[in-house]
Amino acid sequence: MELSGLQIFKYLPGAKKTENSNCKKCGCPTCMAFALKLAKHQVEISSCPFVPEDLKEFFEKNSKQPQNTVDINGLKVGGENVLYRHEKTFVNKTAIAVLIDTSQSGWKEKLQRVKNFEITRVSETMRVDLVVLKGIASKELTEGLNVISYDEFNSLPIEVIEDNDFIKTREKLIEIRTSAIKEKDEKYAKPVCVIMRGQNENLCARASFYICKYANMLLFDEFDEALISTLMTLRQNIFTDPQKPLQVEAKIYEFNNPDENSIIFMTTNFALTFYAVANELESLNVPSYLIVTPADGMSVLTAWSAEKFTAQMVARILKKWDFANKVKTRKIIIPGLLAHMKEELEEEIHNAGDDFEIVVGTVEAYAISDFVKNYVK
Amino acid sequence: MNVHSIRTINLQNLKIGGEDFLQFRPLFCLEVAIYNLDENFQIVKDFYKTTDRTKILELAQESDCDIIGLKFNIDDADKVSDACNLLKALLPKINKPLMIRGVNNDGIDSVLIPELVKVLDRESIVAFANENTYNSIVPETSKGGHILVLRSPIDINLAKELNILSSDLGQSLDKILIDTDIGGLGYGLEYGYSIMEKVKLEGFNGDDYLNMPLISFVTEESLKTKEAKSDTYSSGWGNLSERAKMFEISSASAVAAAGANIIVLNNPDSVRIMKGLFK
Repeated sequence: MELSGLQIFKYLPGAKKTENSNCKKCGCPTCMAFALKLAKHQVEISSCPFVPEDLKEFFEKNSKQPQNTVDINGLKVGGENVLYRHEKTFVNKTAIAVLIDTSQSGWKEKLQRVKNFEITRVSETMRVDLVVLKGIASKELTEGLNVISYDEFNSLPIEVIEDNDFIKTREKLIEIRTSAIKEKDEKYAKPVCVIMRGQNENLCARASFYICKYANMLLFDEFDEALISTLMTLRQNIFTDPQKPLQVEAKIYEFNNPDENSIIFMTTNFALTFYAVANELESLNVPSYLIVTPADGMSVLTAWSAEKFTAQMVARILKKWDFANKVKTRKIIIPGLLAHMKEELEEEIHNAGDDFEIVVGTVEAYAISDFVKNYVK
Repeated sequence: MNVHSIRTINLQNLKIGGEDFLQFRPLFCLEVAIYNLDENFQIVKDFYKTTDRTKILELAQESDCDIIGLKFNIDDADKVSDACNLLKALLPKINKPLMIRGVNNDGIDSVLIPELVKVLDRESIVAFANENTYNSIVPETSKGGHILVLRSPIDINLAKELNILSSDLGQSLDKILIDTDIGGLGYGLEYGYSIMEKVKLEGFNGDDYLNMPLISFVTEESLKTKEAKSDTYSSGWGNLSERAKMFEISSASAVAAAGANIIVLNNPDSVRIMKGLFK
C-alpha cells in the first residue's frame, strides 16, 4: 500500500500546527511540499527530523522489496512488485529452463535441440534461458547456453514446487505471490520455480497458466519446440509494459515477393494495426508492399489527431526511403479512416517531388481481400 | 475490505459466475461454425472428419463441454432465413446448454441474431451484441429471457456503458455476459487480458454494472494468427498442427488465469484437456 501526499501530510508538524511547522530543514518550502514529494519517492523520509515513529515504520516496511531477485549468470529471476500487470509492468520474464540429465538416453540429442532452439517474434530473439545439467557435458556441447549444475540449481535461493496437481500448484503460486506483495512477508520473498515433468497433454495448459500466475521460472525435464515457442509467445504478451503501446519497426514490409509493379499499402506502426493488415496481405495471393510510418506506436486515427501521421511526414519518409525509384507503381492505398487526407497527402507528396497518387482503402483490415479483388481487376 | 460476489446466472443445470475470488473453475463452451463448415479451423475439421452437420453436432456433444456453441456464419443478410431453418432443424438434437452466435458483422448481426432468437425454444446464450447492434438485439433477448453476450472494444468504461445501455433497453443485469474482446496469442492478447482482470476486480469491489460473469472468445483469435495457420515457420516453432493446438490451449489457459467464467473452445480435444485441468 502507498500513502498519498495528503495522508503523509497529516503526520507532519505542518498539519498538526505544532512547533517546527514548515521548518524547511528537509529542503522543501513547506511540510505539504515535502509530503507530496515523499509520496512520489522524490525525497528521503530521513531528511525530515520530525517524522513520527509510526510513519517511519510504515515507510520501512513499505520500501522493502516484496520479492527477491536472483541472478543466474546474468539471467534475472523474480523481483516482482505487483499482482496484476495493469498496476505496474511485471519485471523479469518467467525464465524457461530445461533439465538435461546425462544418465538418460538421448540426452545429447536433447541438448543439441535446446542449443539450436531460437525463435524471433516482434523483433525479439528468444532462446532457452537456462539449462540445468545433471551430470557432466563437454563445453563444446553447451557452448552459448546459460548452464548451471543440478547442485547449483538446488542451492539457489529459489522456492521450488513440483507440479503434481494443477489445482494445488495454482493455489500455492497465488498464495506465495499474494503474501509477498500484500504482506511483504519474508517467508514468501523467494522467486518461485515450478518443475514441469513429462509430456502430459495438458502441460501447455498448466505452463501457460503458471506464466500468468505466478511462476518466476519453469523447469522442463522434456523439451518440445512447439510447446516452448507457444509459451514464449504468451510470455511476450504478459510481460509487455502495459503503459507502452506495442509498436513495430517503421519500414517497408514485403509480402509474397513483390516487384516494382506490386500494389502498395500504407499504415502506422501500432502493432495491432500492423498485424491485422500484415496478416491479410500475407494471405492474399497478390504480392504487395506495406509502408509502415513511424507514429510512436499509435493507431491510425490516434496518430492522425496527435499529428504523428501528417502529409508532410509521409512525403518526407517516402523521399528518405527513396521509394519512388524502387517501384513503378504510382498508387498508394491508405487506411479508409484517413480518407479525408487524400488531397493533402497528394499535394505534399507532389511538393516533395514524387508523383504518387493516393487511393482510399478499407476502414477494417478484414475487408482488404475483397478490396484487392476489385482493385486488381 | 468487503469482497462481493460476481452475479450468478443459472442456465439449465449450469451455474455461471457467483465466485468471490479468482481461483474458481471456468466453464467451457465448444463452438462450431455450423452454417458454413468450411470456415472451421483446420484442426477442427481434422477432428470431425465429416461435413454432416448432425454428425458434427453429435460428436461435439459427446465431448465433455459444458455448453455447445453454434455459429451461424452466413455471409449475406439474404441467408437469414436459411440460418433460422438450420437452427430449427438442429434444436431437437441439442441436449446441452446452448449458445448461438452471429457472424461478427454489424449489418448482418442486427438482422440475423433477432431472427435466430425468435426460433429458440429454450433459454440460451446469445452472442453477441455490441454498441452498434444492441438496439436491434436486446428487445428480442430480453423478451425471450435469454442470456446476452455484450462485446465492447477492450475498454472497461465502454464495457460498463454497454451494460447500462442494454439494461435500460430491458436486458436484465442478471442475464449479461461480458466479452471485453481480446487479441490472439502473440497479437495483443495482454490488452484484453488486463481488462478482464480489471473488470473482475471491479466486480469483487461491488460495481453493479461490472459484476457479470466474463466470457472469452480468445481461442478463435489465437487460431486466426499466422503462427497457427502457416507452416512456413522455422523448425524452432515445431510442427504446425501441434502449434495450432497449443495456441488454442495456451490462450484458453491465460484467460482462465484472468478470470474468464466461460471459455469458448474450437477443438473438441481442447475441451478434454482444459476440463481435465480443473477436475
